[in-house]
Amino acid sequence: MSYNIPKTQIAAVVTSSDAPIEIRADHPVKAQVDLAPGECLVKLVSTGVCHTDLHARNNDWPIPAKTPLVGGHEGVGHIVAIGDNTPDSPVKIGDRVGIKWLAYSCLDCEQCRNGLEQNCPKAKLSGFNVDGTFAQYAVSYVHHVTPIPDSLESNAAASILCAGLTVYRALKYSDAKIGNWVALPGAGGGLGHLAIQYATAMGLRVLAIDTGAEKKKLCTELGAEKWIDFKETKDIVKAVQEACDGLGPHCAIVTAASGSGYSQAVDYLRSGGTLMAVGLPGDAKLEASIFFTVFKSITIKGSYVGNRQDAIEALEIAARGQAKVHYELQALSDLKGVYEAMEEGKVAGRIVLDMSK
Amino acid sequence: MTTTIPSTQRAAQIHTFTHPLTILPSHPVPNPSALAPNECLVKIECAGVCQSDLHARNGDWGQKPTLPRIGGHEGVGRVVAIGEGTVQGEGGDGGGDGVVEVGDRVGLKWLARTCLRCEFCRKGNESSCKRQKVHGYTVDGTFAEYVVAWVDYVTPIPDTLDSAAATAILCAGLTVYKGLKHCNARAGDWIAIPGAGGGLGHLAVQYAVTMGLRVLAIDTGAPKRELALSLGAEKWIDFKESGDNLIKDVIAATDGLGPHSAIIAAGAALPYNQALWYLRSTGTLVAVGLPGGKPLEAPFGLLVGKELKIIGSAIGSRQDAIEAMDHAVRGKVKCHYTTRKLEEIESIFAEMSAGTITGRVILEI
Repeated sequence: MSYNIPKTQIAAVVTSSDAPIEIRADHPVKAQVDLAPGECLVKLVSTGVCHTDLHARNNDWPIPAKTPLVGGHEGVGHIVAIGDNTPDSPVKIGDRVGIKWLAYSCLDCEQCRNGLEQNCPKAKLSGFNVDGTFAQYAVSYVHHVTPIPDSLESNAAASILCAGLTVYRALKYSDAKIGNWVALPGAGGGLGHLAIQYATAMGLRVLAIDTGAEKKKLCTELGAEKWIDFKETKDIVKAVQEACDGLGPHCAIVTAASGSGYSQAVDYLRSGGTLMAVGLPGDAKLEASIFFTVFKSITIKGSYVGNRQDAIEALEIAARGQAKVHYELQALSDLKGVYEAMEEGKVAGRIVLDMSK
Repeated sequence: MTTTIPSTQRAAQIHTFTHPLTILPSHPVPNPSALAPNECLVKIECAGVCQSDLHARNGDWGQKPTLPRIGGHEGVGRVVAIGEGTVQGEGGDGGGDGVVEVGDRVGLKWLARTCLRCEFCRKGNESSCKRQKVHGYTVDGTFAEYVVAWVDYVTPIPDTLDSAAATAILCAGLTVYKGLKHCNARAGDWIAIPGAGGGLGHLAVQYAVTMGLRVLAIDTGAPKRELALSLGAEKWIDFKESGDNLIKDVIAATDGLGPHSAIIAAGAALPYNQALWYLRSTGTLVAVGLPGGKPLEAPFGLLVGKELKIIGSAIGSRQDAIEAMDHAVRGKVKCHYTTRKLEEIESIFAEMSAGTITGRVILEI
């Protein structure tokens, strides 16, 4: 099978953090002969939009994004070229694969050997320090692209690659056991609504926390056993504890963008409980009472995306129909509007860009 | 640094199972220009002799080595050539903690390489990779002057550890170290180590002591007793003197309740079966040995009634090897060895079978 690879493509480019996104029709495509060993070229079919892409676009994190930048890190497409002298490629031309946040890790340092690939000092991050998936073609790495199960169609798979993976891994490492309560602030959002499904698949009981009738309906349909509207509740900590047998949940997966979501969790968690901190607000600090963190034997763990194994497991669960992304399809050219809606907190579920539009 | 690589070398080869290894005086050296990407040629300085090499020689196991086969899987040497087209670092294999260069001193282990991509490798269980290559078994090994290895799998040897001291860490040390990681022990727990005077056993004693465990060494004879106690074992039992009373004696020696765990590298089934009788309830048996013949016998009354855990542990991953080596570098674990010559391999095997070797035998190649 051979693909005709064009010299230029359509891509969404950010030249600096205060410049508008440019949809360019003449962005260069890397030729096969220019691919380094280990690199592959992927022709994208769909790509999800993550709040992190907004952070990359605004460059408002403690770590700098590259400029100019093609953002995006939840991409699904087909491999159309592989670099010469690539040893032992686990993928071949024509394979349908996913590109996630972690584009590359060395697989040979202490972190990689211990499975913490996302913390490799040489990690390359799609749509952050290497160009990503808001384009028709993306360069990625054969040893890190994730094969997509046949039964999962591309638009449905896209947001599993970051949103799904991230919450799945947080749940996996949370020490929560079957029958435990898990509180999910932001349960109606891109990550949250997937967290409900993965948690349910793992036999956990879900307390969904968010606001509004639309999100309440979504969360309940997806399996949340209880619901709290944080805008209608005066004392959130008390309400959460009451909802979970009067003792509080065993675990909280917090994807919030401000510190209060995390501090509240330390207060409402059951003794011996675990707070999985998943969000990445640039400036916020987690403030927790040292006394109660110790006295209640609370564990606070940071959980950051996932490794190759986590990604494969997250996709398998989705392929078996146990985690379905709620998404709206838009086009690459709509990206600016998507970011605006995100900034205003108006996105329920996920927005996926269909590259054929 | 330039090294002239000769075209022939001395090597010990398995030609026919159960027959003595053939010492080849002019075996061809692999052509350095024909090395594939990711391969390297290593000039061996020291090679350890492991009971598994004897099993390989005899074709004892279900899956046998491919013949003819240069034996050996525990070696330290210097990289003299690297395959053209090898990419380390960006996008390619290796190049994490350090790119392997010609002149580097590296360790070769049982696993010559694993795929690093399959479910087992992704989870860090490299020992279970189905596409593994094994030195001295499916690819040539360390009973030779020059052997082909893989840059993304060899273990770097720190400058402060000499080659002979590092050699046995690569298999014996690695195997018991990783096994101990699985024994569910906490500092202060008792661990029984049958075969404490042997190649793996005497290293297990030291790793266990480093982990804060209280060691009950089990073996026979004065030289092994002296060795085990000098390495930090708190108590000693001579299994020949105990005879039928071994189980009773082990329980009495460990607070009257039995040890919390046992790690066993023995080449016979009996010590494993005995462990299930003397282990404390909820205890763990870590089996790292590979006796042919009789299987483990685990009566349900013991397994379920005492809530025991039986864990099989095979060699280890790259990370385990680096950690095991680190303990040796910091002086917490020292291999006791005697040095012999490659040509003595058959008499070494005979002594091994007779149980007369204390510590490890390292061949100076």
